[in-house]
Amino acid sequence: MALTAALVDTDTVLSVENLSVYYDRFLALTQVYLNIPQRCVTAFIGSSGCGKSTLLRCFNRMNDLTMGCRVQGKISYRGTDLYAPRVDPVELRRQIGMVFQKPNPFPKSIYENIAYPIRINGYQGDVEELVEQSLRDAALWDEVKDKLKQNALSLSGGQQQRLCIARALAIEPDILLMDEPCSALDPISTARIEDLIKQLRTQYTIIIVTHNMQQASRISQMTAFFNSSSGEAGAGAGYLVEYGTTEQIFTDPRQDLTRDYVSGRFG
Amino acid sequence: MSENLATSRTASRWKPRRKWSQWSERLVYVLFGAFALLSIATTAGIIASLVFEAIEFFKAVPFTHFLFDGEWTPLFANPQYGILVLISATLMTAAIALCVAIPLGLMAAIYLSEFAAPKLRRWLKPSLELLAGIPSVVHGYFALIFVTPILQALIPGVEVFNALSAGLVMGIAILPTVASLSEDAIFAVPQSLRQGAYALGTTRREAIQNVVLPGALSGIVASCILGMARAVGETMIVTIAAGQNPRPIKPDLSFLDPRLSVQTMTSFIVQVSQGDAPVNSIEYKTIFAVGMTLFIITLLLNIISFWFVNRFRESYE
Repeated sequence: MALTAALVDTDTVLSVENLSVYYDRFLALTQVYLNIPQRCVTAFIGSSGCGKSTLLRCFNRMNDLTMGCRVQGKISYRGTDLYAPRVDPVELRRQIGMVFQKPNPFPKSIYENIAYPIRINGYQGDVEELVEQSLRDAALWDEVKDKLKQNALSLSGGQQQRLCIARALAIEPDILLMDEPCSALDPISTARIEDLIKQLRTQYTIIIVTHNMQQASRISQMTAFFNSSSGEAGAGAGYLVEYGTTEQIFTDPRQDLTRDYVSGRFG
Repeated sequence: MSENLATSRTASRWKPRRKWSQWSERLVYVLFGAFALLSIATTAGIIASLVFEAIEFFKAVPFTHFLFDGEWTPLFANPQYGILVLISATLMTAAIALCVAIPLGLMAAIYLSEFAAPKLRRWLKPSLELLAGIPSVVHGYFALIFVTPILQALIPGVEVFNALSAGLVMGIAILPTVASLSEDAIFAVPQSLRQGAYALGTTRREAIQNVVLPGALSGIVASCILGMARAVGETMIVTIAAGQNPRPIKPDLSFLDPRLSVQTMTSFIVQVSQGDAPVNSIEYKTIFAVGMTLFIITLLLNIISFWFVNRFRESYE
């Protein structure tokens, strides 16, 4: 199942070795080997319940907050074992940011949504400047610059999601995890966020979970295809079927399952 | 009644009893509507009787005297009706109660919703709510027999009946209200907000303090105001433990000394209605004027809480 040999190179940021994840006694994800290269977009595709989001949530130890979640195996982040006892998940999440499926801005002003994580992480520079920069990076500045004091919940869904991206970018993370960031958005908002991701990939390492194969082919350089062992969503353990460059996965898949999935025969 | 709309080929096989179901629908509508009206009518009746008797009272006692007199001596030969005496005692005991109930209740609520394991929460919260089921007369005697002697040993000058003991125990009595309602508000803050905060590198304390509590603010404030309304209307504890001693309003503020015996609005009503004030006497009408005042205060508190919840509630969709 280890298909990563050709991809191992010097600029790996995250390296997953024999990773299995349990929720209580339920095996959600089994024996994953994967190396995530630096400064490009890696997409996780596959049907629901095959462990893509679970794996994503291992990278910033969000799973720590889920009762009964257990992780076996090893994830190295730039050589450090993520699950070593001396790793502080708070410090880790500051390095590895996350954008969620549903926009979740805080019930504060637009400005405060960005300024809060900046302040809480002890930024030494000009907070106001960094707020503006983050909003510009997330392509939201022009739309909100005149209403920074307004409640963030008054924004549209697409704007809220870009605000959440701006909030994640504000603390200058190394990696950005995105868990189906467009699934709750309309096609126009989706297109804007995809454009944004294409711009961001020159500076950040981005890992994105998506159900939309066109999206994966449009924005990612690397693609990992997951499936669950029983073939039925949520019933069996998820595993990695194939991992390679997006071009190879979509044009020349080595596994029949991958071919069936990317050609739309199931899923 | 209605024309036959059935046109399918098998229409002859279907004979629903439309007549009967129409009648039963109407019956249910009328019956349930009547019960709903009954509760409104009862409330309206109580308010009307309060208002009519209070008007009678104000025919005998000028409104300005009622509001601005510094003494409350309605049962004396030369009576004075300064309601501020009773209001100040009521607000003092309620304030003492809130000093107990808000910090303890809020901390209990935060612990329950943010720190307690689900299993623990499952039995801890109901047992906290059980505390609300203790009869207030038991609280009253607990204050008089248990708390007051301790206070007397610790603080010089505490009378047998005193506002402090009654207020402290009243705080314990309203604690479940404050804790339980605050907990509901905190628990209702979407999990996605907590995750959003953690994903930005906040600690647990920071997430609670800066994201969860502000998100639950309207509910927390509402629970505190509701607790205050309960404290203002609480009767047995203050009647038993705080005494029946209306303190004249004086510039030295001695009427706000919590070590002394005071009389709240509720305990005055108890005093008169259990005594032998003849119907339609001025003493009798006094309790309606006091009752009216009490009603207005609790109504205002409820309105404030209602307004606050609507004004500051966050809709997360």
